[in-house]
Amino acid sequence: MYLTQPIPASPASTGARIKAYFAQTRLSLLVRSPIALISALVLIALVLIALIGAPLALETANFQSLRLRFFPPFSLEHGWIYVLGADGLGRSMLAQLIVGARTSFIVAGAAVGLAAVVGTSIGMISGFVGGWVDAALMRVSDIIVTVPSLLLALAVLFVLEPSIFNLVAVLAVSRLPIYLRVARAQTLELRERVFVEASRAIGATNLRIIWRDIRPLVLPTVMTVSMLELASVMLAAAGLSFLGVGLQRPDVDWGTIVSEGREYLTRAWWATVFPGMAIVITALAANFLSNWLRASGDPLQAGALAAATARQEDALK
Amino acid sequence: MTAAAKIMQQPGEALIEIHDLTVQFRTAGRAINAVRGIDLSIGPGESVAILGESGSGKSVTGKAVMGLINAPGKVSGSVRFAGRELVGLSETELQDVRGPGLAMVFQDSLDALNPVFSVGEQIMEILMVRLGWSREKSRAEAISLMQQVGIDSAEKRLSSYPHQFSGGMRQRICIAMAIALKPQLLIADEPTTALDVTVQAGILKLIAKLQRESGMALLFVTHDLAVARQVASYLVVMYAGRIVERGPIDALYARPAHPYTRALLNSNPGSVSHWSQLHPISGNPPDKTMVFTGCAFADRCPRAVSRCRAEAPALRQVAPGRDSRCHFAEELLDAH
Amino acid sequence: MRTDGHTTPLLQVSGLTKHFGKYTALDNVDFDLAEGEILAVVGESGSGKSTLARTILRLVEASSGSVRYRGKDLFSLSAREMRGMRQNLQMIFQDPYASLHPRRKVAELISEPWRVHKGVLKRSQWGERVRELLGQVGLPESYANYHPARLSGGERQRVAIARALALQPDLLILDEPVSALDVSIQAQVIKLLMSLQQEFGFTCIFISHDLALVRLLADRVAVMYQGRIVELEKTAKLFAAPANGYTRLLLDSSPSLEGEVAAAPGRSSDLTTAARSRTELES
Repeated sequence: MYLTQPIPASPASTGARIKAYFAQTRLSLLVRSPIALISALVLIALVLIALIGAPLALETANFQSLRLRFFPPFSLEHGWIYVLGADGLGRSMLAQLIVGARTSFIVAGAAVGLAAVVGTSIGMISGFVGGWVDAALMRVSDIIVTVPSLLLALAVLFVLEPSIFNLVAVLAVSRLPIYLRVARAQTLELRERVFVEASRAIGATNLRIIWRDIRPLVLPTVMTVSMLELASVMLAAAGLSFLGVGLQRPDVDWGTIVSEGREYLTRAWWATVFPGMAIVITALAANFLSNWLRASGDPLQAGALAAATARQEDALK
Repeated sequence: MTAAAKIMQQPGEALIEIHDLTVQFRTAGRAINAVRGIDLSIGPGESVAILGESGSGKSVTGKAVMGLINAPGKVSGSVRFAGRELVGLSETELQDVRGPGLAMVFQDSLDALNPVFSVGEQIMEILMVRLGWSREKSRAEAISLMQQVGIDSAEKRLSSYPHQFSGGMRQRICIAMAIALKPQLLIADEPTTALDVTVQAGILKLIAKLQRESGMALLFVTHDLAVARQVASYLVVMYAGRIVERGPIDALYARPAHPYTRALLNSNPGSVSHWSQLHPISGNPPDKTMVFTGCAFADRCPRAVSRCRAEAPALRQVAPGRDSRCHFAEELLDAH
Repeated sequence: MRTDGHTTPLLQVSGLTKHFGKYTALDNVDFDLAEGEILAVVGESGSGKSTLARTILRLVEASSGSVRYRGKDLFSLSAREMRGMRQNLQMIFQDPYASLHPRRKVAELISEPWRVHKGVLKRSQWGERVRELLGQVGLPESYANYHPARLSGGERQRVAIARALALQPDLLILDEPVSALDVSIQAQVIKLLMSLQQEFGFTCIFISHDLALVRLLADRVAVMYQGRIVELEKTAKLFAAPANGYTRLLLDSSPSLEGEVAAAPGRSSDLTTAARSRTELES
């Protein structure tokens, strides 16, 4: 008697059922959106290369050879590992990019993760509790926003040792306000919803309401923002390395490689262009994916996306 | 009726004739069947109520007649108004018909009015733009319209803005705007649902009075059995995008010829004296994506037999002036 | 009413007042509620009936007055004590589309009260009790794994009822429990609520704007207007002989299925004038 599912005109096969279920999930939208799909695949590939390739490439990346100094790219004369050429010390560009990828992803990932967790927590509490707590936290956040993040990072890293840990910490602090604001704004809206009142009527504490009612609904937005932030944090880290206050050898990330290659840009363009391209591609992919996450997470826009894909399919028929 | 004279009416002919009206929305690759084939005609001066619950297609029918269905909605079938086919007309062509031909009042009066203009400006604009009247003449008419819809000290309130009125008063202003061009058919889409009962009573009386005095036809969309009875003499009951029963309202309430109408009446709190006497309708209204082979109500119907699930009943005359979409309509009628 | 002379009322509300800034939402409201009684609170939007419910449950803090539950002043309880007290006092909200968390499954929604009030029910018994509650509200057990999005409005309200009953409260406040539902579903939910009330005997405050509905189920009716109770009377008496002018207006304005159509010509005009003065007052 309780009909919630449409009755199919003919009995559906298991295959059709699986297809129908798949059609309701977001993954199906991803598959049908080429740019987002390519972006996701690129990011997954890069992360896999960084995690699996880096330990294998570490030795090669540090192997110096005067004979291979400024060895040009697109030649397999010294094996595929030198296909992207070599730098001024004769180190394989490809191997260095792989090792650099790991550091770049670790630094950006850690900074984004730290900022997201801390920023979102503070933002939700601030928005839910309100009053002077909220006012004070928002002023602190305002202050952080007014100081240019690069300047802050420069100052801190100039005083402290430029290590991975310090780099992550300083990047995380400077990106904190974004999460704080996003989480707070959403919480302000969500705390007025009836299901929050219902939880309170059951006897739930504020912390429980924040954790069980608010957090699951704030998280998708935070994920979207994080993906976007991954790109800009990676760029910021590269910028700091480029300016010489970021990572120092033996640690190497893409920014360090660009910075070192700059000295002989006219003689060996590949020493800067390839790591530069790696940064740009990653940033672009993260941006596209973030855009798609935002659109597909929004019921209104998800409908538009689905309708657009449906129209495309109609046109193909 | 100067404006109405533009659209000539053959004596005895229906004002509006709806034939096989279908409205389908395609989203996310699914087809949502809001209206699944409606035939209905309304004569000049008739008052008809469309009764249905949410998802029955009652509101979409009203909007489709007004030409207010936007993409991705698709309207097919025919709506002939005073001999002119409305389905397929362009927006500019429709605008000629709206106003002197068709007018509509919506559920949400705050949404229907522009917040940045005074209500007087909004009523006057219609008259100045559509009839080419002067400002003074329009102003005088606007005051008269506001008086007609029961707004006291209309002259003073002309310069007030929508938010300065209560919900009931705003709805009266919406009615004033709708009748400004003396339409031949007024479509009212749940105009009192958002209002309190004491305010609702006044609005219903106003609509009934305007309808009687001006001789315009009325299509009143509602979910409330009792409200329908206050404004209409003829009732159309919709279920799952189709008409399941229609007829003169008092006869229909006294002797319903469709199990759904009968069930609605039996589950209405006004019809019994203790909650234990209520006879609820089991189950839920069907999903709009469903495709039916038999009767759409069969799953909830206490009298359903295998024939009901296999063979879709047609809307047919079961007594003089009474139509029903039930295989057993005659038995139902006789049972009373 | 099932009051014995010597027992104290389940709930005593006295002098309850709530200001929102300059606006007075509740103005000196008094009433007692006997154990097992069903009190209907009727009124139009802005009459203060919803604020009354929320103030009694301390979802909104009152400006002044007191609410005593079995003789205990709720307003003097600490936040922690009040959370514990909520086991006895539950509420069902108007819109089941809004009152259920969209990301939680039905089983989680119903078991949430036990998560909050630890020790009420052992975790190993949750599943069985959820199935039992689902049965009591007339939903199939398979619904336990559904998200609310898959349920119709009536089914969602049944889940909300199951959640409220999970703690076996003494007092259930129903805030327009069926007005967001389809007409064909309203009677289902009313019958369910009332048969559960008969079975478990909980005391009820039934908030509604629908006079025809409360007539069927309430022991007494309180009519609210502009934050005050203007009439509080046994149901039969209130409908037969309303003493207050506003109550009469409310009764006359309710459209009915039987009798003379109010809009028919020739009907006395006093109602029109009364309705008019009311709308004027509002604008």
